[in-house]
This record gives sequence, C-alpha cells and structure tokens, in this order.
Amino acid sequence: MELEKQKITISTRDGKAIKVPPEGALGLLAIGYKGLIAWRQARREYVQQMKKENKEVTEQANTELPEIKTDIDENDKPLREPDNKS
Amino acid sequence: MGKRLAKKVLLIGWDAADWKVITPLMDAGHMPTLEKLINGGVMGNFATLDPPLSPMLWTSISTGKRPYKHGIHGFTEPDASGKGVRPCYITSRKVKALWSILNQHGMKSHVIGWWPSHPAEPINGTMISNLYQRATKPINEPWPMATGTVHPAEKQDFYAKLRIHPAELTAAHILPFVPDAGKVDQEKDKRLNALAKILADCSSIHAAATYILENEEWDFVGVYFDAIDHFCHGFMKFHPPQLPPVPDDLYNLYKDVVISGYRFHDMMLDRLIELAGPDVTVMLISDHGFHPDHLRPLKLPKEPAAPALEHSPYGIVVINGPNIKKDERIYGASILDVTPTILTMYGLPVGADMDGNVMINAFEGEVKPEKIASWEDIPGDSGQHPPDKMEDPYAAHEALEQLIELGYVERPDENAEKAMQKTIAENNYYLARSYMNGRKYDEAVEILVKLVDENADATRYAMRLAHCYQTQNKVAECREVLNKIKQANEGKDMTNIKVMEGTLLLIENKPEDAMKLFEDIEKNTAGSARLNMQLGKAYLQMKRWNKAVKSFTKELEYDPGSAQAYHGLAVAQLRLGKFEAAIDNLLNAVGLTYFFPFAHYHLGEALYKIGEYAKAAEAFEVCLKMSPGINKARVWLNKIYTEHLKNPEAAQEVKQSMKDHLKGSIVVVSGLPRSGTSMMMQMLDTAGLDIFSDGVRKSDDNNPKGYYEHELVKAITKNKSWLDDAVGKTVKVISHLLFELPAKYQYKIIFMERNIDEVLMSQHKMLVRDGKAKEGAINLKLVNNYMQNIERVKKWAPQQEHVKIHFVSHANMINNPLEELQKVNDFLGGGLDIKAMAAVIDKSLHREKINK
Repeated sequence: MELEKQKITISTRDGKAIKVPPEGALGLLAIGYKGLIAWRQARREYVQQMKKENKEVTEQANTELPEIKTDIDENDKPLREPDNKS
Repeated sequence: MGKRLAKKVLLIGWDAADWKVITPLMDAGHMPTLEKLINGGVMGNFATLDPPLSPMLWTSISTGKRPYKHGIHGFTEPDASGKGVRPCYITSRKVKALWSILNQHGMKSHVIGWWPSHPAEPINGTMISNLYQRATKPINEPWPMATGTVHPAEKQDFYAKLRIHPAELTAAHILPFVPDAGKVDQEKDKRLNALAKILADCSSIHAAATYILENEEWDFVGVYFDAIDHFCHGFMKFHPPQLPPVPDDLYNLYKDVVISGYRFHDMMLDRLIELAGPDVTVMLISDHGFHPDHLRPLKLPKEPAAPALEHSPYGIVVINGPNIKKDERIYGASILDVTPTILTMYGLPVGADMDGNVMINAFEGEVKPEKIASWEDIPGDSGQHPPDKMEDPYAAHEALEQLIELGYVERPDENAEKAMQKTIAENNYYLARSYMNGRKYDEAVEILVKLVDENADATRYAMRLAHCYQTQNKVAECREVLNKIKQANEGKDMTNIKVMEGTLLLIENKPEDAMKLFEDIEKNTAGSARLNMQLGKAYLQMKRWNKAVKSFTKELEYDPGSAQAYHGLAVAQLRLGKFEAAIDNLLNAVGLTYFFPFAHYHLGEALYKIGEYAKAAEAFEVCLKMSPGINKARVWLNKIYTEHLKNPEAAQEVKQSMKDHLKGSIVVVSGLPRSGTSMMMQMLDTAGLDIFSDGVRKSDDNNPKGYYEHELVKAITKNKSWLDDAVGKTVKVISHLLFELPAKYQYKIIFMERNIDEVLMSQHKMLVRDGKAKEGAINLKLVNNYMQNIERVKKWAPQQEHVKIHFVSHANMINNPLEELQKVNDFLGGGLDIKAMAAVIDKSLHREKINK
C-alpha cells in the first residue's frame, strides 16, 4: 500500500493517541515523515468533511488562528540583501 | 583493519549552529535533547576554514581535506555546456568522500541533502541531493524533481511525495516563530514567506531522513540541515539584544525566529536519535558559527558571498556513543577532523593525505589510529560517478535560481562568457584564500598576482595579495600592491590599508613611525576594537611587553574567541616571565584553533621554563608536525632530549631532522665591531665568494676598503626574511646578533678574535673620527660586556647542530696570513686562492696595536 494511503496514528511516548489537527503543528513536522503523512491525512479528512457538510473550507481549520498565507513568490527579494550598495 | 569503536554512526549537520546561541537556550531548558546528548558524550568548539563558504566546508567535512585538495572552490562553477554558470556539482569533487570509502568496504550509507551532492552518487544506499527540498514555483504549479536528485532513481517519485511546499504551512507552524504573525502586512513584508520556505526545506530533509532511519538497513547516515544558517542570515539582525539600526516594530515581530529555529532543531534531533536506536554513535556538527552579539556586522558590502561575513570562526561538535567519553569537553577540534575520526570509529585507517586529525581525546581509553598513504590509491567500488556522467541543464538552471534567491549569487550577466569568467575569477580567489589558510603562501601568491592583473577593480584580491606578501615579509612587493590599492580607492576608507602599512613599518624596523600611524588610526576610527590586535602585535615586535598585554587583553574583552589574541597575550607574558599565565592563555589559543604551530611552539617554551620537559617536548613535536620548517623547535627538542630527558636516540633523530630541514648554507663573518670583520669580508670577496652586501655604508677613513655590510642585518631581530636571499653567500653579522640567526639554515661562522684592548681603541678612534666621542674618553665598561659576549658565542656555537664555527686570530692574520688563511680555506671546504686573499691585507691600516 502506498505510504500516503496508510492510516498513520500519532501517539505520545506512553502510547496515548493524539488527534492530529488539520492545520498541522510543529511537533508533527518534528516527528518526520509519519507526522507529515498523518497531518496530510487529517487535512484531507477535514476538507472531505467540510464538503460533505456543505461548509466553507477555510485555509485554517482552527479559526482562532490568524489567516497567514505563505507561498513561493518569484518576485520576492533574496533573503540576504547587501545593505551597503557602494 | 583496526578495532571497530562504533556499530553505526549518525552524522548530523546543522549549518551555522553556534554555542553562543545554544548555551543560554540549554540553560533555560529549551534544548533538552541536545543537553542530554552532551551530558552523555563530549562537546567542543569546531574551528572552521577560510573562506567559510558552505559547499567548500561541507566537502572538507566529508573528505578530511582542504578545498585545494578536494576541488570544490565556491558556490558556483562554469557550466560544462558553456551556457553560463551552475551551482557546484558533486562531480567536481576530486577525491573520495567518507561514504565512498565506506562503500568500498561494503557498508551501507545514506546521505541526505549534503552540500553539494547533486547529482546523487550511486552509493550502496540512498543519496538524496541538495536539490531535493527547495520549491521554486507556487504551489499550484508543477514541482518536478531534477534527474539525479535521488539515488536509486526508482525511489525518486516516492521521496518527491515527502517534500513539503511552503504554501502547505499554516499559522500553526508560523506562530511559534513569529507570535504576532497575524499583524504582518504580507503585501509589504515578505519575511513570512522566507520563514515558511526555510521551515518547509528542513522539514522535507527531516521527512526523508526519518523514513530512511526507520525503514532501511544502515551503517552510516549523514544528514545535512541548512535551516539554522538561513534563519540566521534572514533574522539574526532581529535577535536580542536589539541592534541600533533595527526599528522597534520589526525587532518585536521577529526577535524569536532564531531561537525558535534552534528549538525546532532540538525537536527534530530527538526524533532522529529515537529512530537511530540504541548503541549508535551520534556526531552533531556545524561548519562554522554565526555571530549573535556585538560582532554581528551592521552592514554587508556589495560583493559576492558577502553574507559569509556574518559567520563566526567556531562551529559546534558533539559526539555521543559507545567508547566515547561522557560529560567531557574536547579542545582544538576542526571540521577537517570529522572524516578521520569516523574512519577510526569504523576501524579503518586514515589517509596520510588528509589534513584533519582523529579527535583522540573524545574516546575512552587509548586509541591508536592507523594510517595509509591515501585512500585515492585503494581500488574498489566507491560509489562515485563514472567519468562520463551526463549533466542535466534543467537541474543546473533551477539550482542556480535557488542560489540567486538566497542571495549567495548575483544574477549572471546576459553574456554567458562574462558570467563564466567572473565565476572562474571568484573561485580562484577562494582557492587562493584556501591556500593561505593552509599556510601555502607561494601557491596563493601565484593565483592572486594573476587575479590582480586581470581584475584591476577588485580591491579584495589586491588586499589578500598584500596580506600574503606581508606574511612572507616581502616588504617591497607589499608596498607596491598597497600603493596601487590606494590609487584605485582615493577618497574611500583606507583604515585596513593604513593598518597594513603600519605593520610594514615594523618589518622595516621603523617602530616609532609604526606607532605614530597606529595611534593616528586609533584616534580617527573611534577606538576600533580590531585595531587592538595590530597594536598588540606592534608592541610585541617592539618588545614593549606590558603594553602588548594591555592591547591583547582589550581585544579579548571585545572578542573572547580570538585564538590570535590569546597567543599574543601569552607571548608577552612569556617574555615578562609570567609562565603559568602564558601557559593558560596558550592552552586557550590551541583549544580554540588547534592548527596553530606557533602557539604550540610558545607553549613548549613556556613549559620548558617551568621545568615540564616532557610536556614541552610534546608541544614542540606538535608544532613540527604542523609546520616542519620551524627548525628552532628542533633546537629546543635537542636540548630537552639531551640535557633533561636523557634520550640520546630522540636527540639524534632531531639533529638529523634539523639537517634535513635546513634551507641552505650561509657563510657568516663575525666578531666584535672593529675586530677585522671588514678585512675578512674583503678577503673572501677577493677569493670569489658571493658577498651579501648592499653597499649602503660607504668606505671612509675608518674603513677605507669598505664595510661589506647589509642594512637588513641590523634589523634581524625584527625581520629575518632576507636570509633566504643570503643562502649560498657570505654575510657580515656582528657577534651580538649571532644568536638571532634562525635555525633553518646551515651556518659556517668565521669569527675574528682581536685583542680586546685593540678593539676598544679602534672603536674609540672611529667614534672620535665620526665626532661621536672625545679623544681619550674610552669606555672601559665595555670590556666586560665584550668578554662575556665572546664567551657566550664560544658556549653557544658548539651546541647548535646547524652551526660550525672557526675562530681566527686577528694578530696572526696580520703577521702570518697564509697560515691563518689555510685554516679558513680548510674550514670552507677548500678551493680558495689564499695568496690573493693574503694580498688584501694592508698593514698600514692596522693602526691600533697592543705590542705584547
């Protein structure tokens, strides 16, 4: 079975299952590939659920969090620009 | 094979990680994984190389060799297709990497994200190149992976799905870094985009690494994270304490980014160690540090690789695992030591052509690394690319865009040829700096002379050339370059040039002029802390030890990580007789930068002074290993082995080694002033010997037939470089300066002995003729001094392996010249026309006589 189709459960070190939020968390990224897949699964399930309920799918599933959009913008300046132009 | 000390090794690279940031975080409990790793293992500073450019450094880490050996000389290289430039590819690496050697021994290695590692090498394991993680297009556009990003190729699609696009990240990921991220006007301030890119990149690398650790068999895993470096380059300017030019609103928004970056790495580290399993040796390193304090540059000049000026010279090293000491500190480690140390962990020999050392002090018990000449000579399947490896121009272009976006590389000129030439010039500049860092100044000069010639507007190249010449004591050449720089930069800040000019004045034995210049610079640059180093060096040369102590102490208050300042301070303390303090500071110096031959030399001297002869010998041996040409270390070793450690075999070995390292032979004519040295010089000139003289001091009534002197001899205490030009020649050196002759040449000394009263009378007459003394007022106090001097010469010379001395009676030379000259002839190996030499003697010039 392809990795992204496997059901991955995230648990604490003492075996307690963690509900993976659809907006993700740094801790999930820190777990590595399993945290990434579990997060993407939670996100897919959230989208499917919202569509099923005819509700609006927002970028942030947790509406208490501010709306932040990040993407590649090819017009963005380099991270380190020289300050001294002389 | 030697004893295997590690079952498996996990090597983790955190680019730019710095103890100055980590230590307070650990103290506050914010990096518990790293703290646990350190408590159960060893830690230390990790000296970087110059230039501190990551592709060069990470290749030095993986090969144990300096850039001039391994072939990666910059960020970019000319594109083989002729279309311009491309990022450095792994195919430009000329030597085997650590994993190549492990491959030859059938070990399974996985390498993720190493810089550079594209195209991925066909190793026995997985290699994921440094082109893997970076998204260059918005999320709604395709994100193809360049051919060769993953080996084996059949796994490319699988790993592609483990990449994270920055647009996937949400506020949940951003807020821990920027708590008030919701307040950022993202139309105007694009920093959240930059943050998301960095986080997405390192999470992609981490996803791939965790998959491999959990699902693949392995002996070695090497994983490289560049995120801390990127967090720092983008956000260290906002790190506390607030820098004066940083506005309050931006400071308050972004002051936590760097700290959060480190904390996230600690979380990832926890997972990597968990997946690696028990009994694994973990080595966590960085290639350089990153100034988080007052040493942060406020401005960056507009030149290639300017961001590297934000790097600090010491990264981090932590090692934990079986056979590794616990809760201890190691000193003097450098990034060159990684490959030799890991090879030793696997019981494999170290190549003698590697520039690094095994970090022996990290291990419990005694470790005796084995050596072979070179791994390049050992055949086998190393998992490297075949010579005819095809290039992927798409990948080259995409990768180059990446570097442009990061600010490392200027957008290439439309004219591809011009772009290639610029890249070649810049890489040659980095290569020259690498040679300088390895103390190969001749090689550096060869490159820099050509660069300066072809790039008149590049002051950086000329400054480095001047620095090389200065290090080699080539004053005239240095001055010529500095004058050209001044002409090309009229009206601009000349502080660096003035400092170099001051140092040249010292080399030219003009300390008062040098001091005036330094004091003037200090006044006009509002007390630049960096000037304290130069002032300290100037005071050392002038033997003003207490002032030197003050200057180096000031420098250390500004930069406590300056190995050079510790060394300078220690030398001053050594000369002041403060041996214990000198030893402490020399240990600080080598603890920071182990490859520091003169620090080990002076440590040997200081240890000798307190009677620690065995330790002193050890220090001198280390010095010679680093710099075999420092023959004066062998002089000390000979003394220690002969007089103190009573080890005649070791002494004999040292004496032979001294002979092997002599740079040539010089004939020296010596004696007290007015003892007949000019006469002897004239005789040897007549015999056809090549005389080292500049003719500056003209003949006069005191010496009608000439002095045969050279001005440089007078300044021998400050500048000995001229002796290279005196090899094979004859030079006059008065007896008081004999002890300054460096031990790297063979000397045959012809010492003129004249009746001391005659000497005094002759000196007095000379001073009277020159108007510097009154008739009859002979200074009799000089008698004792002169007698002691001659006694000292007679005691000193036989003890020196590189010195042979022959004493000539002045009186007998006048009265029985042929008899004396025959002995001189025999001493010099024969072939001299002693009759012609004897004809030089003019008895009428023997004016001051004592008839006995």
